[in-house]
Amino acid sequence: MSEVLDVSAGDWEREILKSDTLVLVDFWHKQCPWCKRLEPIYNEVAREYEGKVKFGKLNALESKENRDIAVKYGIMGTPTLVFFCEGRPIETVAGFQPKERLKQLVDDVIDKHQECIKKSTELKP
Amino acid sequence: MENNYWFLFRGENLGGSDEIYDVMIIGSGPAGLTAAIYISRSQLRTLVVAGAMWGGQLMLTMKVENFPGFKEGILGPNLMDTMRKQAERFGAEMIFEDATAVDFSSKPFKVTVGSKVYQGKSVIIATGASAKWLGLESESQLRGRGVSVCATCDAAFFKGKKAVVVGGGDTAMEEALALSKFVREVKVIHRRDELRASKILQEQVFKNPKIDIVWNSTVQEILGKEKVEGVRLKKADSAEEFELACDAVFIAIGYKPNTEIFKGQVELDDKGYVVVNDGTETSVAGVFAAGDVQDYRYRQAVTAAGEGCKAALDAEKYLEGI
Repeated sequence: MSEVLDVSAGDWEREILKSDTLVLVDFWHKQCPWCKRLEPIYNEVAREYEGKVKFGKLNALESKENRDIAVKYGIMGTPTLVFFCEGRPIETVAGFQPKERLKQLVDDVIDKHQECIKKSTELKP
Repeated sequence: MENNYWFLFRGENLGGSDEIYDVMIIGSGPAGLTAAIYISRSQLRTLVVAGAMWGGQLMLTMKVENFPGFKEGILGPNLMDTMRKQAERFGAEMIFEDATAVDFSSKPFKVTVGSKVYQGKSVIIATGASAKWLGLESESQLRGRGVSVCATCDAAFFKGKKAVVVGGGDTAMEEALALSKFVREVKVIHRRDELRASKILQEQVFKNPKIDIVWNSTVQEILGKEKVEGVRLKKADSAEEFELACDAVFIAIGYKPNTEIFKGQVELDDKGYVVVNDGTETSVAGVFAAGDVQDYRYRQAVTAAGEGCKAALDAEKYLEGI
């Protein structure tokens, strides 16, 4: 049972940058209605890609440290989704995505970056 | 969320085409769901084409304080979730995909959802309205890079910076006021010499030392490559163009009705709203419309719900007569 991982500045490096698989991070915050709207869709899609892509989220306004991370990756609005591969941001999508479009995005990134997901599929129990 | 799958699965299995619904409701905001509650409670076969983004504009509202019955207010998504469950309890079937086409030229009426066609004796149009964009290429390129339609979402990312709000109605004033809590200055760009917004909001804006209004001007271009760096404006009464430096552009130029698929099927006015008689009847007998898709005057959750109820009663009456 994989859940969306709630990351913050403290475990950012370990969970996201040093992850051995493709990671998707949802930059969100509590006062953002589009983020609320995305949340159930994001959770569903996360379950569908379990074992293939790691899904995380970072509350961009929760602390100064979290905010610094958001600024570092050029986040200027929420929700913004950023794919990371081996510590590098490889794709950024701003704004709410309906379920089918979100899945398409994930599929496209998987297609384009096969090298990022290999390790994780082998690890699948 | 399990419900989603169940209904999708069921829609797939039935194939849509043999079944004839009594009422097909397109849309799932307060108008559509109230209509669904009334119709399904009357034991009529009810289909709600709720859309991929079901729930309407209230799904994007944090707190609703003026919907009767909720003393402390209620979160928009929670209110819509309750309405949906209420309709489902009476047996309304829901599809969480968008209607892609309609055919009202012969009976039964047809509503296409992707590759499936659903048929019904009557239809209630409740597809609502969505926020308008300027339609500039630079606008879509810089979306999420300083261009936004949601100040509550994004204002905090522009702490101490300069922001521009485009528009002159209530939404524009609300966006400007929300932004003023974070940014250094807000300039409201308005194409006329007076605001459309309600007096109470205008007063708050005029009193706010951080907010200025740039009158009689329209946005020609949003400037910047990687992120917003400014806007190029044009004066309404001359060819004069000038630039304004800013870090964010919030678009709040009003709403447009979601009536693309109804063109040529029912009468629309010059702004695209569905034309109704003094009730909810459209130009096609058996097709009704409720909520923001036909109402540009009140645009409230409560009035939409009320119209959804009227449309349901009108549809029931119509069904009795055929």
